[in-house]
Amino acid sequence: MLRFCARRIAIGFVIVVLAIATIYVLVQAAPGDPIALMLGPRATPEMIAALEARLGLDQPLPVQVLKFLIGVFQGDLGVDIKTKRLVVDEVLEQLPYTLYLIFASLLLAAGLGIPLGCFSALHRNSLVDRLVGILSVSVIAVPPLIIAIYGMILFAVHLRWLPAIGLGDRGDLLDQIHHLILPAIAVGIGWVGYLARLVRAAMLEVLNEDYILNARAFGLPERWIIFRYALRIAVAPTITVLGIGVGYMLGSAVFAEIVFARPGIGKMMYDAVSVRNYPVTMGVVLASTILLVASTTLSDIINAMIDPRIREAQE
Amino acid sequence: MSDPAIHTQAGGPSAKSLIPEGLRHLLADPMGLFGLVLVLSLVFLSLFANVLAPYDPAKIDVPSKFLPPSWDHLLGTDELGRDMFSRALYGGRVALKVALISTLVALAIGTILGFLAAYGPKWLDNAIVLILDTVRAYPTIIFALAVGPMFGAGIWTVVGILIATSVPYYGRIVRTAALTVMQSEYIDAERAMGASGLRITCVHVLPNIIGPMLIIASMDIPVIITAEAGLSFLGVGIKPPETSWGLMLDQGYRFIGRTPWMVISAGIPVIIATLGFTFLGEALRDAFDPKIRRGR
Repeated sequence: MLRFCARRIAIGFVIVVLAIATIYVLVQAAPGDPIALMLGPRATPEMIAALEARLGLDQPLPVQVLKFLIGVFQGDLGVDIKTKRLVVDEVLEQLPYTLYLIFASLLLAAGLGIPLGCFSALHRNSLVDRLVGILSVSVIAVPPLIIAIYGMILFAVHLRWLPAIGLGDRGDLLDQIHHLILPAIAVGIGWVGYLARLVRAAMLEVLNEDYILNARAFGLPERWIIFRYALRIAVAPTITVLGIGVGYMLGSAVFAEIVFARPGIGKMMYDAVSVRNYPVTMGVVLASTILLVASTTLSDIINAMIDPRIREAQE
Repeated sequence: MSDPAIHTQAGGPSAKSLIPEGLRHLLADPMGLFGLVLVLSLVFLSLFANVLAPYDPAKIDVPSKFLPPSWDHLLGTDELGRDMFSRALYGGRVALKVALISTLVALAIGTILGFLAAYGPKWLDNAIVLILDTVRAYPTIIFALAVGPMFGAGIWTVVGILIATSVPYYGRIVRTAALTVMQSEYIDAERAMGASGLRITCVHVLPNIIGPMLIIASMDIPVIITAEAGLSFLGVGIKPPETSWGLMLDQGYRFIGRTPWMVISAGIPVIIATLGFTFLGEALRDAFDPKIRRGR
C-alpha cells in the first residue's frame, strides 16, 4: 500500500511539473506576443526590452522554463503586473474562496445524490425513480453557466429568496452560507444527478449479489442489510467520480464566480486574462492543476485502500 | 466522468443485425425519441438558418431594442434591436460546426494515440499515457483562459482547445479497449493462424471499438457545446460579428440589470441542444449496447 501511494504521488508530481512547463511554453510560443499585448500599442522598443529583461523573457526558452520551475519550487511565482504584489500571496488569498465553493458543491452532490440514488434503487421503476432518472440526466446536461444565470434571475432577482452577488458579511457565517447556496447549486447540481445515477446502478447490482441474498435468508433486518452492507459498497465508486469531479467543478467555479461576483481563483483568472496579466494566469493554472491532480490521486489512493484488486492491478 | 467501460465482445450478434434492433429500441424509448426530435429540429433549423430566419441576424433596429419575446420576435431583441431568434439560428450553425469538427478530430487523434499506446513498445505506451494524463491535469476552462488569448479569439482557437482537451479522454478509453480486445481468445486464435498485427487491428479490433466510441463521442457533444458557449461567454471563443450562443449569453448578462429577457432567451437554445444531445446519447447507448439492454 505504501509503495502504491508513493508511486501515485510521484506520478502526480511529474504530471504537475510537465503541465506547468507545457503551459509556460505554450504561452510564450503562441503567436500573440504577451509583452506587446501587456504594454499596448504605444510601447517603445526600449520599454519592451526593459520589461522582457525584468521578466527574464530575453533568455532562451529552456532556460526560462527551468528558471520558472525553480521559482515555483521556491514558492516564487513572480509579481502581479498590475498590483505589483507577489502572485503567490494573491493566489493563496483567493484560493480559499474557491475551495469553499467546491467543498459546498461536493457536499451538495454527496448529500443529495447518494440518498436519491439509494431511494431510486430501493423503489425501482416507481414514479419517483423515473422522475429522479429524468431529472438527473437533465441537470447533468444543462451547463452550470446557464444554471447560475437562470438561478440568479429566478431566486435572487424575481423571488428575492437568495442574495444575488458577493460573499456575504465578513464574520457573519450564516450570511456567508446564504450567499454560497446559489453558486454551489450552479456548480454542484449536475453532480447530484451523476451520483444519483451512479449510486442507483451500483446499489441495484449489489442487491443482486449472493451475500445480500444470504443475509436476507438469515433473516437480517432489511434496514441493516441496506445500510450496513449494500450502501457501503455502492458508495465506493462515487469517490472516484468526485475525485475527477473536482477538476470539472474548478471550471464551473469560474462561471459561478463571475456571475455571482464572488472572489476566487476563477474570477482572478478571468480578470487577469482580460488585461494579459500573465504571471497571475500562470499562478492560477498552477494552483488549479495541483488541486486537480491532488484530488484524482487522493481518490485513487482511497479506492486502492477500499479495494485491494485496484492496488494489485497497478503494481 | 470516469472512463466508461467499453463492451467489446467477441462472437456476439454482428453489427448489421444490431442496427435495426437498436433503432427499434431507440424509437421505443420516449426520452430517446424526445432527444432525437430536439436534435433533428436543431440541425434542421441551423442548416436552413438562411431561409428560416425571420430577420437578418445582423440588422440593427435601435427603436425596437430590448423587446421581450413576442410573436414578432420569438426570443425578443437585443440591445441593438437585432432579432434574438434569428441570431440563435445562426449561432446554432457555429455550435454544431464546432461540436462536429472537434469531436471527430479528437476521436481520430485519440484512436490513433490509443492504438499506438496499446500496441507500441512499453516506453511508447508510458510516454503516451504520461502526455495524455498531463493534458488531463488542466481544467478545460482554465486551460482555455490561459492559452486561448495567445492564439486570438475565434472559431479555430475554440476548436483547437476543445480537441486538445478531449483527445486524452478518447485516447485513454481506446487504449483500454484495445488492450481488452487483444487479450481475448479469438485474437489469440487469429494470431496462431498467422494473421499480421495490422490485419488483427483493422479487421477485428477496430470494428469492435468504433461503435462504442461513436456512442461515447455522441454523448460528448453536449459537453463540447457547453464548452463553446462558456468560452465565448468568457471572451476567448467566437468573436463578433460572428454569432454564438455563448456570445449572446455574454451580451444578455451585461444587460441583465436592464432586462432579464436577453439572457433568458440566449440560454434557451443551449438548453435545447444540451438536453437533446444528452437524451439522444443516453438512448443510443442503451439501444446499441447489448449488455446494458439485456440488463434491463
